Amino acid sequence: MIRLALLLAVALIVLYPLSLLVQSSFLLSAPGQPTSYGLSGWQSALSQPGILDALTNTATLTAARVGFALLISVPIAWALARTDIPVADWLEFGFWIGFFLPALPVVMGWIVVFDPQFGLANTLTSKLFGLHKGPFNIYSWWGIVWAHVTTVLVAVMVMLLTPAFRNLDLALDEASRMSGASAAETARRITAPLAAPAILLAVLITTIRLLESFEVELILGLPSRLDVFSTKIYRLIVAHQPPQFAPGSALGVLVLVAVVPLALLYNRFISRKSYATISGKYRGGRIRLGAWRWPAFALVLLAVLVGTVLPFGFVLLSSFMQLFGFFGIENAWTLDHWRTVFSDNQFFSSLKNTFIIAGGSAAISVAGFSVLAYYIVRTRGSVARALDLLTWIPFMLPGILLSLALFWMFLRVPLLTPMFGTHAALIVAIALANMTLGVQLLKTVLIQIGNELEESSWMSGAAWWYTYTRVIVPLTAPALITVALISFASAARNVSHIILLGTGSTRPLSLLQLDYIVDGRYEVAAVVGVITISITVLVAIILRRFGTFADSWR
Amino acid sequence: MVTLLGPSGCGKTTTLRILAGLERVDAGEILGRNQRVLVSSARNIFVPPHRRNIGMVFQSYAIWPHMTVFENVAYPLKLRRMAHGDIRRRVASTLEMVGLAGLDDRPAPMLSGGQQQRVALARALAPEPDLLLLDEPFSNLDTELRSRMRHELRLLKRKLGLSSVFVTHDQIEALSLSDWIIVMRDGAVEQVGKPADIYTSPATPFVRDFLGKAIVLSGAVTEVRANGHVGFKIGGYPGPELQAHSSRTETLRPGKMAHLAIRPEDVVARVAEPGLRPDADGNTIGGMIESLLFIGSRNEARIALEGGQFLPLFLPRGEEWSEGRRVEIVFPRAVTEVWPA
Repeated sequence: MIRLALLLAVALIVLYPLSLLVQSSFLLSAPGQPTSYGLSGWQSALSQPGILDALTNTATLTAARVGFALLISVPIAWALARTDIPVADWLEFGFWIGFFLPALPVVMGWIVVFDPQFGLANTLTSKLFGLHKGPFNIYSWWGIVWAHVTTVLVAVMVMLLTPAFRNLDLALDEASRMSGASAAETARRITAPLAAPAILLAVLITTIRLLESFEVELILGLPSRLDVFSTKIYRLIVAHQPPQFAPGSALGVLVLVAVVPLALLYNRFISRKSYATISGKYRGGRIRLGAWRWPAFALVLLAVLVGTVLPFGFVLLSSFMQLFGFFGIENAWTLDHWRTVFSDNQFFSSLKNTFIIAGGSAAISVAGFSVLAYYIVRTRGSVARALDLLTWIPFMLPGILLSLALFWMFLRVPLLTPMFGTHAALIVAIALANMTLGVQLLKTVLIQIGNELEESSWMSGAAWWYTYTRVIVPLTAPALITVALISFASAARNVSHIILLGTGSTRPLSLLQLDYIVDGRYEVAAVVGVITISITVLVAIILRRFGTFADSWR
Repeated sequence: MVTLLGPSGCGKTTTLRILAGLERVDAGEILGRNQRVLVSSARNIFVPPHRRNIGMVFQSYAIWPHMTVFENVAYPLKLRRMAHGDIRRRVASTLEMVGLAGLDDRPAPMLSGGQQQRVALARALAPEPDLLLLDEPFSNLDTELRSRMRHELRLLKRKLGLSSVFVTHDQIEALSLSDWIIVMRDGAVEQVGKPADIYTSPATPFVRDFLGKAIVLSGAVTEVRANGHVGFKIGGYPGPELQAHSSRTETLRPGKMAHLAIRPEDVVARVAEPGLRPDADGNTIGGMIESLLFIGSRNEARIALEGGQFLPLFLPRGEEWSEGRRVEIVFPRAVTEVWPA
């Protein structure tokens, strides 16, 4: 009985908003007016040139970003996992931090370097080479590629690939050497084919994730009117009068349809037991790089620095500047902007909002996901499988679509309308955004714990609730803390999932920073950015100590 | 067949991997067939593993999961640029030799543990290497399969006449398969010799106790004679002293603490009955069966001696043995050895 109720509740919270999204693509009237349906939303979506451009940009940008990230990440992950590169642990930690860095402050950091007017790289190269104007422009297609690849994508792929490479049995390589193959031949015939599934998986995950990228394109695409589908939906709804709900929703449904095959592929991939390459006796031998050891270290260190320290350093610097990005003016440095932010009520209310949203979504996530995970793992049957499938849907959903779907749900369901514009709406959004990862994480831990610890508790005379609180909860505590902390970081930095739901009084730090940027107040935006980065980096460091994060995607 | 035998961590696998070229040495030389220098620290020579023409069977078998049986075994042959037809023939004959004829097209993940092991062997043997290295190849098999593989390996060895180096911690494997055994402990060699010699004349107490079972009693030397005869008094035991021998009389002195060692199979035991004359040898002691385990083919007993010492003993099946019974144990002098403590 409980199972059915659970299934119904989850189906409602996940599927209902989606159905409203689809429905609203056919809705021609504005909210409050008598309802009328038609296809003009779809006609608009399929014929407007801006929309087709946006879709093309999404496709080309995604392909380029995944391609470049792959080129850089595979050698790095291989080096960290299989060779004797020095201080591999610290290098991995660097990528771990990169994984958590929020996009907005990072973009600001890169603007300081590559802005066409005042960017540091441009001023330096034009001075060095006597050019009139520097060659770099961050506000471009290449700028978007650079900002994503260097920070988030390489970090994500390295985090996904390193454990997979590490699990490849070294004996398989050694057997090839003993059979007469040189190191290069072994890499080509043995290591590469065996690593292929892991690489494919990484490509799938990052592609799905990239489809939802929003804030980077919003900032960097603005001057050249470069849109991707997520920013296009946003503009259709926010920047048009009256808001173009139908075409926006139609565009959303189109993209959703495109994501479904990717997600199905991903599901099929991980459920199929591909090559069992994990050996029982792992000896941990490493390939010796010899003369290449320190050069390799330097290259990987460069990747870490460019991805994490550089952007953070620049956004930190810029928060102390009189005028954002202008190093050469008189009185370039000041504490004024920090003082402004800390005496601004808006900032403190955003900070408070961040904590409220973080706390609320952490609480719901921990309680809800653990129950969900428990039922999926411990019970058999179609209900459990359906539940499992449902929890995968938020992962496939690009953030802006989730935002839009929830927007519709709050608007159209009279019972829920009071929630619109409150913290509760944002809490629900953040919790849904993290549902897939949280449930997967807890499922993994529960599977590792196994049935027998529970069963011995029952044999000793304990009822279910006693066992749950005395045995399951303590054992899953590290994973639960991880889920809570991920919620926290998410609330601090997430933009696309909540952008259509936040208001002036409920916006957390991420939306505050976005508003500052849109208003042109780059300096205070940088200050808020530094604070946001600090929060998420702190969470990253704490999480590192628990270590239950890494393998949950498999 | 040379076996490196020793407990975990003694360095036997490392030594094997050094021969293979998978580990580097700090100092020293390795010479291969016809005095070919494979490794020389002094002259800075290191022949990489793929040029040593040495076949190796790994403990985890290391069968490549993305290839079929045929592709696994053909791999070293392709690298040696053999003609396609020759490869087919060689793979077929090698698979037949290891008992896997007809499984060419089976994908590797669909093989059982025993089959994987044979494929590993076939892959190592197919290119007709100068030397075969085996790293605990049977340790992952169940006992039934293990004893069968031992016999098969012995037949294979006879047929091919191939030199091999075998690493194991299982002394039964070492004794049954080797021409020479090198017993290792903590990175050093304890003894080198033929299996029978090492078993009957162990050089150190470690080798004595590692290979086969040994009954060891503590006590003191009573007298030492030039011809190797040694008198021994079992500690705490009120009975007469025993007549034993030692090949190391120079290390023994009357009154010195020592150990008495004998193989259980050399001991004669019978139920004690009053009035029975002691053996002509005179080396009879009495004890009581403290615990008796029936393990099917025989009994395993723990005999308590007066004075507090115990000794393990195998007793044949039979109604006459039971817990609490008194037994007489005879230690023939020729096989009873005294060791310094």
